[in-house]
Amino acid sequence: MAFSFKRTEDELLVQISGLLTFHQHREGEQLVYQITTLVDQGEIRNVRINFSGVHRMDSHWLGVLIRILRRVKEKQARLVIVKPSREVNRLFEVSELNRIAEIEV
Amino acid sequence: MSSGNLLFAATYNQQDLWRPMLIEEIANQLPQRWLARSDLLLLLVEIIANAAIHGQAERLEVTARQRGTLALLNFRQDKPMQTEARAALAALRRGAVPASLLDCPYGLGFRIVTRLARHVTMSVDGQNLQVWLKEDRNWTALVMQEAAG
Repeated sequence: MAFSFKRTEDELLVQISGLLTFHQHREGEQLVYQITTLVDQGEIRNVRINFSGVHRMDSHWLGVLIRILRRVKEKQARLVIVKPSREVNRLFEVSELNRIAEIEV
Repeated sequence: MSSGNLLFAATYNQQDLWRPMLIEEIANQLPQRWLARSDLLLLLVEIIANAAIHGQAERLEVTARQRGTLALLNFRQDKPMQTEARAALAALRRGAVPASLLDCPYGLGFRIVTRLARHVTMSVDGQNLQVWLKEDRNWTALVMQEAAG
């Protein structure tokens, strides 16, 4: 898996791709750290994570997303999950993440 | 159920459990009668993760048996699942689900498994996780229809 950041004024665009399962747990911790550090600085108002390149994901990464979402909400910022695949969207439905997170299909 | 028709049996070591392709390898050997493939992959990855991380399993035996429209997937690990994981499953089976996902960024695996399966049980010794699936006839018909072109 791989991820990259692009920052434009108060928006952070995160491009993430590959397989997001417990096998990549270290990368998950890095992603939480990097995004929450930027959000904590208070300049980021919108975080958009593009999931179009992710073909599969598990609950470990669901936890990663929830930790990011929690911090974003604490800072009164906004998180949008962009273009999840059908498989990833299914996980969001089963776990009910779609009830608490903004998902842009 | 142990007298049911044995569909699949395999044993994996710790190194196997950390191979990302293992999930698909197991799924490829199971009939697609009980769950959509994406749901089966999701169910398997959650159980393997539990065994590898929370169970710290060095050996995992996986069997699948069928009786009628029911299937039983049994995952037997050499070490018992951690107490916290066993308590989490017991709570889910009692219907004790946290009000918001924001309150539980950890321990989501069983929450997903219990929603995909008909029934999930764990043996008293914490070494056997049993997942019951029921054939979805609508799904089977759809798969057969797609296979027929």
